[in-house]
Amino acid sequence: MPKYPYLNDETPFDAASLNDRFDTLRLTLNAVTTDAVAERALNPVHVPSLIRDVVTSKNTSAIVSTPQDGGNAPPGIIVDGLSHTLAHPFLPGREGYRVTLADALTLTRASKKEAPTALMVMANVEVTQFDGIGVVVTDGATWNGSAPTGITLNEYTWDVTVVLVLEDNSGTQATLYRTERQVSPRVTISPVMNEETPDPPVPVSGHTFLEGRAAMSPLRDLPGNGTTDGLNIDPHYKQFDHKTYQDVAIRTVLTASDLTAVSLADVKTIHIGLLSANKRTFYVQRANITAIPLLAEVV
Amino acid sequence: MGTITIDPLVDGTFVSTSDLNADFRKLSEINGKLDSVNVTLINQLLDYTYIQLGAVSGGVMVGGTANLDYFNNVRYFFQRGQEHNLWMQDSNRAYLTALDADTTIGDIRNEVAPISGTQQRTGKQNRTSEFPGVTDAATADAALPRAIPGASTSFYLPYQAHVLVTWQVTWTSDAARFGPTPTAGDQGNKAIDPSRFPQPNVAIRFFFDGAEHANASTTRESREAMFAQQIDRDLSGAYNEYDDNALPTHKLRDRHKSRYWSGHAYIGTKAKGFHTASLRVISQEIVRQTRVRARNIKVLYFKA
Repeated sequence: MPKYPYLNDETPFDAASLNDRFDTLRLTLNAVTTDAVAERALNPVHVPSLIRDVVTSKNTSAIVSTPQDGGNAPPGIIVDGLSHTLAHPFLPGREGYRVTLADALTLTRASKKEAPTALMVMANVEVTQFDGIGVVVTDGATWNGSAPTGITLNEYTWDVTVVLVLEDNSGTQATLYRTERQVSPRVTISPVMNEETPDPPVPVSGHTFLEGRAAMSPLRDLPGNGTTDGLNIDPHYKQFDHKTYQDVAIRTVLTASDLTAVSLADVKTIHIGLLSANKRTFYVQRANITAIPLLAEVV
Repeated sequence: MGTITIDPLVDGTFVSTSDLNADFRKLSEINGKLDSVNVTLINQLLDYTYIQLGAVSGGVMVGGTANLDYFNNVRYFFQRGQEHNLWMQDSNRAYLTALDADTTIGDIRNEVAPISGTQQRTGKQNRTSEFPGVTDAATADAALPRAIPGASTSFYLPYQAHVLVTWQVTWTSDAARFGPTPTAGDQGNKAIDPSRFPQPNVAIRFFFDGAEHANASTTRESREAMFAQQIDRDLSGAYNEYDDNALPTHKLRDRHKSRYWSGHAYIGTKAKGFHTASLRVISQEIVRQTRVRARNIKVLYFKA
């Protein structure tokens, strides 16, 4: 900061001298430079927002169905586990599962001081249940004369994988592998058919379920055979505790290095990508994704 | 304010003291009135050492460690039921049921295997529930959920700001499917009818400034039983036999069954002043107990 030019004896005190003094202060105050700023000198009125006006959040546009009867239409979007890989996951392509920025961002700041250098991303999605759950019926002779049943759903060979997919201004998409998250089904393990628990699990001879890992739902009418005109029929998988209802959360900060890693020049849209490493089919609902461009440099 | 403009003085013209004082007064920007206009030249070079704590962003976090229990006055019983379930018939198992306004314990215990009068007890469901009349926790009226201590907070925004809320919460419940397996068809030709399976649910819902926020995406629910099996004998019946007339104990445990939610919501730009954010819990009335373990709720704000 300049010092105020003091008035000295025998020097003119006229309009010009006053104007010069005013200008010295005015010009300096109107354009403060870095060396004039002390540590912790700047408060909220001095500094601009760290967030550009492209902050955006997307939520699913409608309240999803939550049927009480659990009938033939589980809530949410069904994801075909056979057709998608980590490199090419399923993209629902609807609000809540993607967020599009106002401008494509390079996340670099060579000359444009307003350009964001980081993108904070938060994404959530709820996995409701899996599809294709089978019922296994045991040999009654093995089990004290009765024929208990289970379902094939277990936490070892069923999964849902969620990952972010970046899309640039030209529409090119690329999976950001480091954002991969995974959940397995939330199943009840009963002692029924699970007296032995080998590790690692092995299939029960003659059956598709794993020894010690047969999923059951014992806190209700124990699943078992039904009857039709006196004939035995297998139970339905919905008699078992087959629902998952788990949340997947992704929290990350994207920088220019991420764009370099996926060979994209910029990012315009961020998708929630869905797949199953074990090729399972599943349902998801209630997604939301937020992207906050930050001016602050990430170091 | 910020940009200083001085009215120039001209020799030979009359200058009033008020005009001269006004020019000096405009330099009062020095006394704490500088703003972003004054620092335009340097705002891309500053790092955090120049900026006061909280000048561009801030945050608030609260948490909790206690188990928080919410009860509905539901009484569970195991009813001996054998119809249309050969496995249950063979093993003399029971299904879970509950008393309601019309059903007594005596009704339940006499239905399949009458017990002597001295062992009968009577009683009906007393509806003094935390969530009376709730039939779907996820979509019930927004006035019904209860704010969760440790997952609710009020906070002050020192300036207009973008608000982002995140939270971690776990919960479990003894929501269970009640009654025998629903069937369809006539008496002699009944088959399992999965479309009629009841699915009790519990939900956590997010509120901001007293109103539910984006119910479509900031609600999470759990359904059906979330606690460990509790029938204390295995299939073979070789051990852990229990008395046929005893009621097995419940256990609110099992790592597989707790629901965990690490959620977030971008609220938008909110005005300077006080605001509130809260997670609220609700269950169907048929769910006897819901146990919430709030981890934390965090509010992050960025100067708009």
